[in-house]
Amino acid sequence: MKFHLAGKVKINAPRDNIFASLSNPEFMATCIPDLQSFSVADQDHFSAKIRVGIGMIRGTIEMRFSIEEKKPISHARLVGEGSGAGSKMRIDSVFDLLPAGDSTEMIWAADADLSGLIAGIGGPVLKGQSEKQVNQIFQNVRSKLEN
Amino acid sequence: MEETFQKTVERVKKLNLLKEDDLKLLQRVDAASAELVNSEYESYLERKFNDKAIPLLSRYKVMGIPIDRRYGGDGANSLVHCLAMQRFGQVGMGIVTLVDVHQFLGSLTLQQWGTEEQKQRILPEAAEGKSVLAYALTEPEAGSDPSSMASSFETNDDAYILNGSKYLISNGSIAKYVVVFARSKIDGAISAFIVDSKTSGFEVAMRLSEKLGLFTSDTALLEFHEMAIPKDALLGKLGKGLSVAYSALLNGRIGIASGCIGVMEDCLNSCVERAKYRMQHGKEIGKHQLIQKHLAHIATDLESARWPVYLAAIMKDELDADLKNAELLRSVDRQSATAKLIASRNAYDAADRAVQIFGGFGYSILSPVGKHLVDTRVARIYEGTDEIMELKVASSILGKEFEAYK
Ligand SMILES: Cc1cc2nc3c(=O)[nH]c(=O)nc-3n(C[C@H](O)[C@H](O)[C@H](O)COP(=O)(O)OP(=O)(O)OC[C@H]3O[C@@H](n4cnc5c(N)ncnc54)[C@H](O)[C@@H]3O)c2cc1C
Repeated sequence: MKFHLAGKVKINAPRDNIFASLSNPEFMATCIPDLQSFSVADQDHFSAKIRVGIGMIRGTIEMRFSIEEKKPISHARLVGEGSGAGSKMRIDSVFDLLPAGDSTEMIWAADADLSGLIAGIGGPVLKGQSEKQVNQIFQNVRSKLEN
Repeated sequence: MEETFQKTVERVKKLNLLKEDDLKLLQRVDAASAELVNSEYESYLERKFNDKAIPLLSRYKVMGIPIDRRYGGDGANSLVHCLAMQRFGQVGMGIVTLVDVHQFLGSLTLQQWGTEEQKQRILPEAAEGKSVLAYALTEPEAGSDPSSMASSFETNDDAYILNGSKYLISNGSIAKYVVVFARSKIDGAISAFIVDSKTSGFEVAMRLSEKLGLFTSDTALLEFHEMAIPKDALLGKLGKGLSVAYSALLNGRIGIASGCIGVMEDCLNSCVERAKYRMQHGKEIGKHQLIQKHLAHIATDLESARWPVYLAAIMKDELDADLKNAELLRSVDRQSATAKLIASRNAYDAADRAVQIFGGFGYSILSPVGKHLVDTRVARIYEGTDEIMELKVASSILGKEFEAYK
């Protein structure tokens, strides 16, 4: 089951700072909600155990992430793949950073491909739940980078 | 009344008559519905009323869709209202019930039968979502036959004193105003009243949470103990309460039927998604012909209900422009019953097939279709059961003297 998410977010911080943070696994780990554990393989690869809980589908999903297509200070791609709680997921996301005065505009898009139990919940709900998660991640990013 | 081809053509032509404002309103409905999905889903899993729904609908300014612009609403016609309900139906019957009762059974009833003072006092708040409306006709001992109701009123110099109870009242425990029906202790004639739920003697006796489904919708048992309401709470003429009740149900049935169209659309969308990714016996289940048969049934269920529902809405718009036309009223009443009968049955069948396509996961309220199956069932009961709709349609064809439910 596939769905697409996209959006724009304004972050009151310089582009170089944002790019460096978002392409740093250690930083990203602090922004993922419900993170249980985390390990860095190298500067472009990390894995994370994330707690999920939608109704009775509860458990931990182990995700492996790789940061690709890095074009400092404007673009990168984050690909994550993992399984757990009777489900499998693959997330392929890109972001572009554009200058916007003193702050930065981030344009992002993500394609999710889910199978197993979680997929049965269906596109509209999963999209809504994912948007909630993404907003939480951006809120965390902003609270860490904005002064 | 003869249904000529010209009339049908005229009605179809009207389908193109969505004005700029209507389109803007429908965009707001669409956005509100998309945002509602999350809280509806989460509340459903907790089997509780969705307390985020009313603030959200108010924020998108969609609580007053049919309320006249003079009173702060959108003044949308029935066809636009029907399309809005269709979109809410994609989210689920919980939202459809909340909105249908607030807007069709509550606001529209007040708009049609209320005094100018009642309308000015209540409708602006209702349009803003600051107050929610409910409609209390059913009683523990009087459902399909409301004329046998036991709730009663007496009159003194400056008040009506109501006693009795009302059962299975949607929005009952959250409503600020409730349209209540009771019979005179003097002559037995039934009257309608618009009651402020803060009135002394008004009691929410029970929140009815042990339902099969429809968890996100509020359902209550109300009791009235020596409840004194002012004389200006009378809605419509004294002793003519059943006319008020039936006109409200004529409207409400179009709303419920429209919601059922949305349920079928959501079932179809969910099943198409599922049929394309779920693999069994080495291929997507959508490539198995028996699954295609279910999909074809859902799609035809949907399309065979869509037109009767739109037609009911278009005819209702005709009636609104010609309220005194008794023949048209009978015709619209029949079409509204027909639309509800077809749409609610088809929606239940569609949801059942959708559960079948989902397999074991479908038999869970985690799946979109499991929820639709249990929730759509109620559409075949409330605002007139299947059987009452059938009798209504039959007697409207045969003539008044054949009314079998009297
Ligand atoms: C979740 C929910 C929300 C509701 N919300 C509201 C609300 O907001 N306001 C409100 O006033 N009511 C509300 N109702 C009540 C609803 O409208 C009634 O349940 C419905 O009208 C049927 O009445 P009853 O339950 O008393 O069934 P009964 O009238 O007892 O009917 C039982 C069975 O007998 C059949 N039957 C009855 N008479 C005949 C006949 N003459 N010929 C053939 N068959 C007949 C019926 O079709 C049914 O199958 C709600 C109900 C539910 C479940």
